[in-house]
Amino acid sequence: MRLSGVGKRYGSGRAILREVDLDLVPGGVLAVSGAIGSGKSTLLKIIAGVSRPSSGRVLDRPRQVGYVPERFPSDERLTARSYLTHMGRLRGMSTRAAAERGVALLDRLALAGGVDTHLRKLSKGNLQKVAVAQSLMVPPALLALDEPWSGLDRGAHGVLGQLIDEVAEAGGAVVFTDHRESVVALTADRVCHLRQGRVVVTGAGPAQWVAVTRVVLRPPALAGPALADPSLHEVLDVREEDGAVVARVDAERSDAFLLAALRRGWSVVRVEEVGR
Amino acid sequence: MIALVRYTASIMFHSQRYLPSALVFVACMGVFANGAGDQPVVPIFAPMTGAALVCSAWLAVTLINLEDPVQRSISAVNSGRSLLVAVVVVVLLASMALAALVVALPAVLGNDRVTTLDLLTGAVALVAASCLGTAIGLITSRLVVRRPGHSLLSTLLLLVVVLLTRGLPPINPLILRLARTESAGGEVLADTALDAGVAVVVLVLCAVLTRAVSARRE
Repeated sequence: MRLSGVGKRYGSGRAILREVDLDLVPGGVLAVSGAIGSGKSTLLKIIAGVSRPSSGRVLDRPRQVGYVPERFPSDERLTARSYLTHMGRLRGMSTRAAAERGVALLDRLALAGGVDTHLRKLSKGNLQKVAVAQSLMVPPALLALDEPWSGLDRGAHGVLGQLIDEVAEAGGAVVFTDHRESVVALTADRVCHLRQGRVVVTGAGPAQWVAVTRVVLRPPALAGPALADPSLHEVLDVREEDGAVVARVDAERSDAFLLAALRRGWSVVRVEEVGR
Repeated sequence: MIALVRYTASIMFHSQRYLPSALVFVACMGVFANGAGDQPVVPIFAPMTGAALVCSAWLAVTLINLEDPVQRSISAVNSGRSLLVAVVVVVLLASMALAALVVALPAVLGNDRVTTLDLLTGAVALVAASCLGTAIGLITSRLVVRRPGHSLLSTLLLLVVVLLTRGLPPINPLILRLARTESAGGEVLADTALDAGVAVVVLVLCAVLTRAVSARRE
């Protein structure tokens, strides 16, 4: 899929995007970074086909597109299960297959409150899990996610990373926005930086931007407080492996994270610099 | 398309926005159609056609205005289609269900003066009103008129204009003709069918225009 000279302007207002050229390759994960108001969300909407460019062209957009908006509407009167079943049916799935797929995705993302909770009663983080699930009801050939980590708990951070990896491994093109360089570095293999609606840097390999420390921990014998505050300690993701907990942390913040984990009674098994 | 219609219908039922229009329609039936058992039925179809126009416009405009634009984008991406056609189908199906009540009433109440042409004329008139009402709902929804207050006001204004402007096709002449007819002949049915044709054309034009305006804004 390719964007050629794409520009966007709402009415007679200022241009949100100007002359954007971008390639999305199957199996690639592209991060769109930039300050607030730089045009990230607008670019993602145009990539997903939600918004039309005012100028330029979008070529070869695949049919199966998954889209996670920046703000998922919370006033839906359906339950999470029923909503995902509807979204699956819109994709051409049978009712049963859609319901099973929806429940499996929400189980994986550990939706709190259960799949039969009404969407309007879900917290922001749990709504975000439903938003991610609806985009993956069928394996997308293009997955566009706008700030998908916002509001997610640390467990879901890791699962979302795995889901993105799975889409890319299956040959899907993934594009996401995030303002944190550490998340971009960990997840993307290419980065496009936007400034005032223009692409100023398109580069491969953001790995060198942020050094990542991999910390293997053993939980305390007695259930204690949570591991650490992901937003406070720049925890990129947390996964469970063979009874131990593996956290990937921004290397610059790893000392503070280790201190917080030790204070909460966790044991450190191994610490290693992994680059990304 | 069936999945999209089911989803749109479930939004309508869960939101309960169909209730006011269904209640208004049934109340109108109670007021105007209570003589359907022993009086000429065609004049009864006149106020019920007006009620069908108002109710279908209300359903269409609330169904569109109710849905969050972000959710509309998600549904469009997931289905690969615009929600507009599904809204039209759901509103028309709901309007037809209400219209069926009116058409069935003379038979239920045992009116032996009613003819097949009378019922057919009534059914076509109610379809015409539902199509025009849906068209008004689309064109005055927030897809075209941004602010909710302005959207509602323009719906009411347009309804008043099409109902009360003397001679403006298709609904005003249709209602006046029904009110003056005791028993429908072939000519009345043909004129009513012509008005229904005009209403369908207006609906298609309004749907295309609404789609074009909303696509420009996205």
